[in-house]
Amino acid sequence: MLKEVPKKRVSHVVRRPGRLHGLPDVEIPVADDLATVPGIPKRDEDVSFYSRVYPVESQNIEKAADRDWVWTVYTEEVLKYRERHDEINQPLVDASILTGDIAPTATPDVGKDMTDVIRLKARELGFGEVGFTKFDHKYAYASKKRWVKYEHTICLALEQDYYQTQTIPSLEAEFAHFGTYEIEGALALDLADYIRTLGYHAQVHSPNDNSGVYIPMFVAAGLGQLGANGQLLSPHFGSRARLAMITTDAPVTYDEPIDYGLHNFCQICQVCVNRCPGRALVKEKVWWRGAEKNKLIYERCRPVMARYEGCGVCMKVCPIQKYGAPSVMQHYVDTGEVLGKGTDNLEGYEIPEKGYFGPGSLPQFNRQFFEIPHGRREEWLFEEFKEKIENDMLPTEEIMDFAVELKKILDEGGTTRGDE
Amino acid sequence: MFNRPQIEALFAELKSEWQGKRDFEKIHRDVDLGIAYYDAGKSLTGAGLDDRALALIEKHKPE
Repeated sequence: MLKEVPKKRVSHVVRRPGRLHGLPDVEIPVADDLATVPGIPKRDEDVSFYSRVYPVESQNIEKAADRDWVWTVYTEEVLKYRERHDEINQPLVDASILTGDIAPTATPDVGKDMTDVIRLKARELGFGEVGFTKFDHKYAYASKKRWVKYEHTICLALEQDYYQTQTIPSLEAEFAHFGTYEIEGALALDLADYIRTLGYHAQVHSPNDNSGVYIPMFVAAGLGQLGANGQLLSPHFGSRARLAMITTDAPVTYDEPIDYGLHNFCQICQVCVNRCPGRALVKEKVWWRGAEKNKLIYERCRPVMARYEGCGVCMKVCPIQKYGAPSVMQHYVDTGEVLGKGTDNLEGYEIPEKGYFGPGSLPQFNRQFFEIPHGRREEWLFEEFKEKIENDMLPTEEIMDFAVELKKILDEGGTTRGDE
Repeated sequence: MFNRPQIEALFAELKSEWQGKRDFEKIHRDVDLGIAYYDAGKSLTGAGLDDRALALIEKHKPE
């Protein structure tokens, strides 16, 4: 029997370690029409300009108003679970903050490159993706710029449960989401302890207290490319992973960014864009802070996330998440088609009280649904105060209440802590 | 193409037979991949999928 001729020519083949430690390497063929650049198309001068003039800040500060608001619309079950998670997670976040000051516990083997031993240990601990790059201060949050002590970054991705993730949106999937953070926080501390036994410092950047925008550094370390859903798509599990970092003074060799073909693949696939319940994902890429990307509309995403168990439909319906890049890219080379696109098993999902939505159908929400508090806490307080003033002159008592509340917010300050 | 009732029946059987057992995730992954290949019109023979996943797909596939 004649073998079918592949529809696409292969530009290059990416070879990566197996999904778990001990599994064989995999090969990912990248079709000619998907090849672009390693990592992401960037304008370095724009990245620098925005970093200098408009430094990034944690959503937990910049968007604190809606981050407070979500707690008021959680279902009772989610609320209970989130409270429990925060209780478990807090000691891990607390411990991470101070790790940069802990002294090494051995004398270093001067001149020896530590990349391989650290990578091996991280893989043994269970991290599915491990890469090395320079800590890029252009992506550090304004409030954390001075916190980062060491220049080399170890990028760590921990895969979250496969089965639970396919039930998105659900409480079950939230167990995978937050449960993975709990495991990852502990594993990162273990890895940092290990690095200290090699004679070097190790500072843990908690997955729940980010020091900056992590994805660009993961892309620089060759661990994936930015997807149309705004998440890191790594070759084995797409965005079904939670990210943490460790910065260190251990001598390491940096990895290089890789072109997995995903930058163009997402433009052809578009399943996440088409399936997003809130219509928060945008089809066309734009240049944003010096990178070419599909820019998510936060205000259309957050109300759905908050009310429907973290949503995550964009993760669930991503073929790379569900089947892995080796199968998806091979299928694209063979057929010129996106594996799973248009099928109920990939694209279908159920929204509580709204029902099932298969390919081509989306839930409807009214305008009010998307009205949520914006900005920082104090900005939202001002916004509400302004509205009251516009409507009527306020009694002295209410003006005083405003001042007291504002003072309280300013005294508390912002925190970078929170779920990501 | 697999429709929703067929998918639900397949996964209900997968869960009742395998959830909590060691190979549940492996079979689940291969079922998902197998359904995608089936829906794409690709032969499942020689696709390297787990036999138990193939059996489930064969049992629940569209008439």
